[in-house]
Amino acid sequence: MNIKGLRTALVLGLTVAVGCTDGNNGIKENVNTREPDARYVGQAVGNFSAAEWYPGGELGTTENVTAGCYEDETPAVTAQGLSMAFNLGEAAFERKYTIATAPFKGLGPAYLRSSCLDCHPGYGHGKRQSEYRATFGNGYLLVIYHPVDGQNSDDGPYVAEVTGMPQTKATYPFLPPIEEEKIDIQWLPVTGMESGLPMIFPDGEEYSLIYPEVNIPESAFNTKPTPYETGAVAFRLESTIGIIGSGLLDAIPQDSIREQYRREARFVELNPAFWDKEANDFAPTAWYTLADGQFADGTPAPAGTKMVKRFTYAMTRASLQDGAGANAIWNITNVSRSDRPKLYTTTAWATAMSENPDVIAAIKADPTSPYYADGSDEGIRDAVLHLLDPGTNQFDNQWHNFTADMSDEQYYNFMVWHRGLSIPRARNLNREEVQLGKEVFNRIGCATCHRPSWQTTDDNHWKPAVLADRELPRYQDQTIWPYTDMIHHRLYMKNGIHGSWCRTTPLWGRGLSLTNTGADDRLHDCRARNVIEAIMWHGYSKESEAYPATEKFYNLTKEERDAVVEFINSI
Amino acid sequence: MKNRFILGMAVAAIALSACDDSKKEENSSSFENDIKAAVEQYVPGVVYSTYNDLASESAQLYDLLAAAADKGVENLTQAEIDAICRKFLQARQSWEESEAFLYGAATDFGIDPHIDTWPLDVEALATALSNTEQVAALEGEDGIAYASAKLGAELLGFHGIEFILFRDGLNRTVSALQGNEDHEAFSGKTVTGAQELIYAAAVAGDLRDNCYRLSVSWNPDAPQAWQERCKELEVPVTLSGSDKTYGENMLGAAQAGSTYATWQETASSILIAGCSNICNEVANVKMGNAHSGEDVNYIESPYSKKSFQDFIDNILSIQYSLYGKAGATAPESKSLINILKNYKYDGADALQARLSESVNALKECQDKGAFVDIYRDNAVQDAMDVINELDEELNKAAQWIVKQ
Repeated sequence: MNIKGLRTALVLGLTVAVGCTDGNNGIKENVNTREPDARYVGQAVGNFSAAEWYPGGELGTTENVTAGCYEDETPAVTAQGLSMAFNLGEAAFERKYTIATAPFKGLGPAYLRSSCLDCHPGYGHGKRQSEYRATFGNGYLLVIYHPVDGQNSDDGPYVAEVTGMPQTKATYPFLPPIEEEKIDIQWLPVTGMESGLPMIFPDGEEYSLIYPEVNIPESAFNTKPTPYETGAVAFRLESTIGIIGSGLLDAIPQDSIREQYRREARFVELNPAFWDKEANDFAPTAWYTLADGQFADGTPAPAGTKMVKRFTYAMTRASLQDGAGANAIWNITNVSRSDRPKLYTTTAWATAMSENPDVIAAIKADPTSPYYADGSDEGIRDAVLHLLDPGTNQFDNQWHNFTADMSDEQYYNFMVWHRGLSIPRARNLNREEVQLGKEVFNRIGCATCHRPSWQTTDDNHWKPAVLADRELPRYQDQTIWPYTDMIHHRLYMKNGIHGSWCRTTPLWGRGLSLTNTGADDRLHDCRARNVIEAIMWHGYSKESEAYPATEKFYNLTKEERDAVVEFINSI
Repeated sequence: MKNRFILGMAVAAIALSACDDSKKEENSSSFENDIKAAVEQYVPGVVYSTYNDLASESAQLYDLLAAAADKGVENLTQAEIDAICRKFLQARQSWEESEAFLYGAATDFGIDPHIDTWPLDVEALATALSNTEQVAALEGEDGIAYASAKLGAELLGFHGIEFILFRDGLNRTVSALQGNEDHEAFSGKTVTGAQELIYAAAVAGDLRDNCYRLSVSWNPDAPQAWQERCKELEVPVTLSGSDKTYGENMLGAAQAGSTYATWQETASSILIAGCSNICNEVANVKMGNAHSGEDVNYIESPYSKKSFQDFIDNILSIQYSLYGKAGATAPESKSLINILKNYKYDGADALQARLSESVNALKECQDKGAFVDIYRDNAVQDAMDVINELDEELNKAAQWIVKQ
């Protein structure tokens, strides 16, 4: 499903049709009255610099802004001669994984989805769901945790009985850790903002907000024990995050991120798990310990090398090459590879499966099963218990030695693709509304957290040992415009995000979501149905770090509000 | 490789050509009206028509397979199996001929990956069909719904049916279907041809429903029965947040409520998001991943050995989009290719030449054998090269259109 980049000339050419008109003439009967941006692409216009047309910089931006542009490779991929690897990696992302049919094999024994595309429809975010089914469009990960207040706090440790990203699928003869048919998702209306902001703007325009409430009964868990047996349980939804431009975020220098923390720490209480206010430096827990690897310039990065965490909502990962995607291609499908020899499962699930008579009977009836052992009930139970356990090396154990499902070459191709996804160019920066939007966005404080731009330097990225001598797309000396500060903040939404802290979401390219995916849902659980709702959720609580900016947004004129929306949809 | 237009060149072109006189405005108006007319020909003539064929043929395929499953494999004749295989290939052809407009409903609703993903998970199929409860569910009154909801896309769509109907490039024989499945993935399992037909019928029902949805999602005047079926399935058939079909949205370009701001943008979407997309897919993914990647496992249709025919149909899908009518061997008067010619685009002949050369190059490959057998052959590289050239011409044409 590759789509080639729309050439700049396509949109530049549109200027001719409208740019030559001066008002009421025949042309405008058949063309949109909005002046196309074509003639201005690459030029400074109003309060935009020329560079802002290229949010991914010269090496990371595609000119394509039509359907499918999220799928485009960066110019760096092309220039480095990595297109073939990119195409092969793209197939690994788009296609279905199977139990044993090459080239995409190794699905299960428990898994979340059989294809990356299911969670990243059109390469975008997931789409809002009213029921949980592990199919196309559902980008939700269930978040199941023990709330610290014993009821419904956003905070608390993940339950240990299911994986952090809980699985609702399993290959025969196993049962899924959670039976998805029993998951209940309700979308409830907000009847009043906790902050007191009315749900009607001063000029009379109304807005509405909805939020999810999720429940999973104990009977849905095929684990021993169930999470209910180890404490109170609460649930949240987290949708997939944008994948375009991830390689560019990986190229942001760590020292620049440190300076951003220092700037913000003067005005706001940052997550103490990431920032030591007293030391005015990163906290010990902000660092991620990497496995053996190498930097892009060939410098060894021995096991134990540390990098600051920057990826995922909760900022749990430091390098893209050991980030969400690098792990998802393993743990979403449970497809093993040489550097991922263990299963993504839990002991509680392994225990339940080893004690399930139907599972034992099914394996007993199939002497070719890797779980067959000596064919006795006890032997099968023992094999199931240990082979499904997350601590067992699947390639080296006493029960059955599997081989890696994904080859190192396939993994390399996948990472070329992952690090090679581009950002579409900006749109409509020539328009007065968009320029006004930028001015207001900055004036009311949105840009404090949604930091517009960063500068990459040598992009000396880390790579795991398995990729050590392989070239990945590289983005040196680029000015990029992701609109994120790469720092955690808190919004205190109703049934908010697990852990309360959430990395500021990059805004680049999001305005093309409808074009690429057929949906435009926003925020971590897709609760916002449009940009206005996304903004107003920032002001649900007065405790929100974004409340002051949201309050200012609330008090804008409609023209200014619409301008901010136009701006966000254009970058 | 994905080519990208050089920004500076585009700016220079605009600087030289834009806003020179009032005649330009008149020409632009006429030009836009001509594009509008071509799009008004393209949407019903190509998209509605192709999806109509696809939906009709997939419905017929389902009827044939359901009848065969009901009749019982022991009573089937080879002629009946051959007829089912022909109908499969007919529906498959219509699908491949629709791949120059995968943008829209096919992508947004995930229909493309639902009905045309690969590889088929043969081991999972063996497990499913050796489970008597599962086969009973597929055979039951709600068999189609069960298939749709429970089998997973890795067992659904064209390639699942293909596995049942074809093997090693040939139609399955009556005797093979009257025996037990002998594919290596079924080793140790007893799966009968009767069970396979039950599965194929249920999957064909799901395929039919998705093809109905494609038609209904584009054409507001799709047959009432298909619309009713979509209502019964409770699936969206309009753009998100709109009551417009994808066809209405495109035909309403340059008006409020359409996602296409101008007619030029509409034409460029047809050429880039549609035609260029499948060009690149055929040359660099469908062929390239197997040929350049030197891995036979990346071949999409190994059972019927019809890959080259699929690729030819993909390129013909581009031809029909340019010519304004499904099945066209010559352009309609109101067509994108005629606009290029009538307005003296100097690349129009090259575009047409690369188009026919692409089809011919693929036919040369086809004459040499099945893709799975000759995927390393130089003829494959030659075909990939000319299809990439066609892609370049499509992009140049799109550039030219928006400059007028």
